[in-house]
Amino acid sequence: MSTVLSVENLSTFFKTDKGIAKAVENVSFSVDEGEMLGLIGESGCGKTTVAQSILRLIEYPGKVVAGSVYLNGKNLLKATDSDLTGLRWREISVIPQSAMNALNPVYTVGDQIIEAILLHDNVNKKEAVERTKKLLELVGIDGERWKSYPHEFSGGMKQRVAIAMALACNPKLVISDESTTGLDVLTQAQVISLIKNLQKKMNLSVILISHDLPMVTSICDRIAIMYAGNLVEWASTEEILKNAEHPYSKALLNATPDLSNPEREVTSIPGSVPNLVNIPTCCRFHTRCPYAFDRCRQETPEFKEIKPGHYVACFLEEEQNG
Amino acid sequence: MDKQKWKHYWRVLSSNNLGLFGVALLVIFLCIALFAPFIAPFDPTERVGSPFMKPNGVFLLGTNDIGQDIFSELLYGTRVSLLIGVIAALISIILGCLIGVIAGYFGGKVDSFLMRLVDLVLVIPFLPLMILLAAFIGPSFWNIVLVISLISWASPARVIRSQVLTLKTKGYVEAARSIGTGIGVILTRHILPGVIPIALSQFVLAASHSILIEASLSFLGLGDPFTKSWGTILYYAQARGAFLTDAWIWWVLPPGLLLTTLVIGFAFTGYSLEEILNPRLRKER
Amino acid sequence: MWKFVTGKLLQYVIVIMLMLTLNFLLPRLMPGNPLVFLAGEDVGFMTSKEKEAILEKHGLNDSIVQQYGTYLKNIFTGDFGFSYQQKRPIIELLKERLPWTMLLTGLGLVLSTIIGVLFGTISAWRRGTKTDANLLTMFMFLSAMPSFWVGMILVSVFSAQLGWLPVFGAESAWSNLKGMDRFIDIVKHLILPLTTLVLISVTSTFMIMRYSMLNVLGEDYIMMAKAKGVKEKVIKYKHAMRNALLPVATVFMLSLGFTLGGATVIETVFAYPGVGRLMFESVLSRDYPLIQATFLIITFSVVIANFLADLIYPILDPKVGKHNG
Ligand SMILES: Nc1ncnc2c1ncn2[C@@H]1O[C@H](COP(=O)(O)OP(=O)(O)OP(=O)(O)O)[C@@H](O)[C@H]1O
Ligand code: SF4
Ligand SMILES: [Mg+2]
Repeated sequence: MSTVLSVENLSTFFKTDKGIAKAVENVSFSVDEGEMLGLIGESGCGKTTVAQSILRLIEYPGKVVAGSVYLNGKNLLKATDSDLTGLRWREISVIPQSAMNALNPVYTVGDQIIEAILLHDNVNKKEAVERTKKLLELVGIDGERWKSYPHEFSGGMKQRVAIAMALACNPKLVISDESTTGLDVLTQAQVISLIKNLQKKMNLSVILISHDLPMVTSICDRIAIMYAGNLVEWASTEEILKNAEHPYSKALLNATPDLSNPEREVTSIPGSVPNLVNIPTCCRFHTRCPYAFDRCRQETPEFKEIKPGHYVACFLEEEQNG
Repeated sequence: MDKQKWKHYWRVLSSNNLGLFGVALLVIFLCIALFAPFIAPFDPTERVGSPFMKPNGVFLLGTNDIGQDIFSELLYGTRVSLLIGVIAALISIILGCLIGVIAGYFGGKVDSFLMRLVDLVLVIPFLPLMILLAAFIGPSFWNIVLVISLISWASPARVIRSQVLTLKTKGYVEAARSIGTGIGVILTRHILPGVIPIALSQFVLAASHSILIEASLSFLGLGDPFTKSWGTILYYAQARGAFLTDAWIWWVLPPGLLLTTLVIGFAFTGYSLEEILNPRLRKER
Repeated sequence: MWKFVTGKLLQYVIVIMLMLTLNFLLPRLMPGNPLVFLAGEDVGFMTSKEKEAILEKHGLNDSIVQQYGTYLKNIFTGDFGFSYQQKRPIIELLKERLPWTMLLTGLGLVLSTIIGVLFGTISAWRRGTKTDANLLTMFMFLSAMPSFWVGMILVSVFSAQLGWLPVFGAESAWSNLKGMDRFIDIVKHLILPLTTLVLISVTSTFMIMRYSMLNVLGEDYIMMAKAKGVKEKVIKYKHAMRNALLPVATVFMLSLGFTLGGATVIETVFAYPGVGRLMFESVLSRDYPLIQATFLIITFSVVIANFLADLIYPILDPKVGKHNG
């Protein structure tokens, strides 16, 4: 299996009134062809920032300060504007966090999908319309509704439209950023299974951003867990479920499952996320970690491979093994 | 607690050059207005020279059509412009607060009625309405103040209403209401402290509008005939055709520059006040 | 959509009725001789027969309700009364003056909206840069200047000193120009008043456009368009501007009244023969019926223009446009 996307030592900071917020620091992971990777973590831990850094959408006061992002061997962070125009949507597309607001209210949904098609593929308007209708059918919306405005759809339907739009130019990689926020549980499940089915059907690579661990473990091939701007663990789903190493991952897994309120688990770990502004060198989890010791307060643990394909950032393993 | 808040405002204001500049301008104008009799070389109501004199060592900006010193007129004119601006703005803000707070606090039918009223008032072309009223009630200082403030309360009322609505959704107002705290207490304790800062910035903006309106009315000959404002000076300059001669440089230019500067003083102050009080606007993305 | 339009219509009918009532009451409630207010200050020179005729015409001997009825009937049949000073029916004066005001304010509104929108977009797009700060300061200064003074200065410089443009009026008197020559003459006369009007009314559009554009630029669909690979120019003008224009349309309506008010003063400076100048002339001669009529006609214009803008708004905003179509 070949690697589609590889992120290496990515750091993205924000300038704020009070100082530099290190929203994402030293994050590395990769996505294979046809793979579904779950990126998971509490609200504010930097998931969206990672996604936007990959897509080159970070704007002032934010800045990608270090790292590289290779998409099929090409470094996105060094790409010129015209390179980007060619890559966007054909190679990599996004279903944004609030698909509700991702559709421009003054244009029909069809126009917005057609815009992407015409921009990237050498087809005429009529063919674009046909493809748009097919895309809408694909996500379970009557194709004839391409002439409707966003406000004429329900929340779940807008979400589907956003998915259809993301698939418009047959991308290799789709980033789905908590695409189900704001939907009721039933619709959430439908949308997620829709994404899963399409992924299989089209052999897509998908980065599925979420804070719903049970959902992610049920459909993703690999899982990357983020905490306060750092990646703390990354391994196959099976490995995470069986042999999670990082105390934060364990805490996430041990939290009582509560199907009616999946988000509760993540927040039920005692303590709170540290402020990322001017954060000192340390393991960022030490304020909440039951195993924390002196070293954790002074050094940042390295994100390293402890078993083939299993990466962790924690001193514990090192201490135990020597 | 409150003192700290003001200290904070002051810190932001003083780190904000525009605001500081605005406040400085206002202070200067206030001094001119207060000390006009001491600074002015002549009594602006006396004929001290021959008419239409060019600027010279004695009459810095020459004399007008009846031989009054233009420079002294300008200094005294500060008083009228400033006074009318401030008083009219004060009245319209008080009206605006009253209506905005009532609408926002009681909501429902009262609110929709009052907001409809605001919409109505905002449609009326206000300068022509003022001309109409001023022509009928007759020109005098207080009539002008009255006319300006009767028409300028509407947009502050709307701003203040939305502030009250925001305050209302904050937990403590609801809590206070639910345990039966009297309206008076809720208003003075919880609502007013949140409204006053907004009212202040609205006041500053209203003052700058009022000054311009007063100038326009005076320019149209509807000003108080017994006091001389900058608008009145320009009215005579226009009526005597001064702007068609070289006299435009000393008779027409200065009053307008002063008006502009004063309004800028208010506008900058108001603009920065708004930035301070509404941090959401600050550091826009 | 119909609900939206009828709601607005009701509001405008109320405005007009209120203003009519105010106009009806003003001369009758003010202390002093109502005859002066109804016929102008010349009543002193009238014979008692003439006075009686005026009283009769306005039905001043009837009950107040009947008077009100007569008044409304007159207005709605286009009878705005008689200017005893100009010795002509007011409606004739208005018909003469209205086209000039419409020319001046119509062009003024269009130009100031275009300019305000363009600069507002630029300023927001470059938020936080020097360009943004400079534009902001410049427009703040513009809005701080008294309109009539700007006019006077422009006349002093471009007409009196440089002699490039005519000083007064809407066209050269007694010249009998025809066709193209007359057109050029009218344009020459229009330049300064129009510039003044645009200078003083452009700031509100600029400010709103800038603010609204800033909000829109923070929206997710802008980010989406960027992620889709849409070019910057297209994002700016197709995606962002279109949305940011919605609040501008609302302000456009509010500024109608302001612009017409501004025109009153500007027409005065340039002796431009519009309704505003007519209002000024009637104030000078205390021709009360004429003051009232000019006020009414300005109010009517504002309301009608507002209503037209309301009809156009749904085209801009599909949310209003398609509902109950
Ligand atoms: N424009 C910005 N200015 C300053 N700080 C920002 C900005 N955008 C994001 N941040 C900071 O970056 C951090 C990460 O934010 P991000 O949106 O990536 O979190 P997230 O994991 O996507 O959260 P959520 O689950 O709520 O979407 C947060 O601490 C946030 O405060
Ligand atoms: S490095 Fe220390 S604080 Fe961080 S997770 Fe491991 S044990 Fe806990
Ligand atoms: Mg996010």
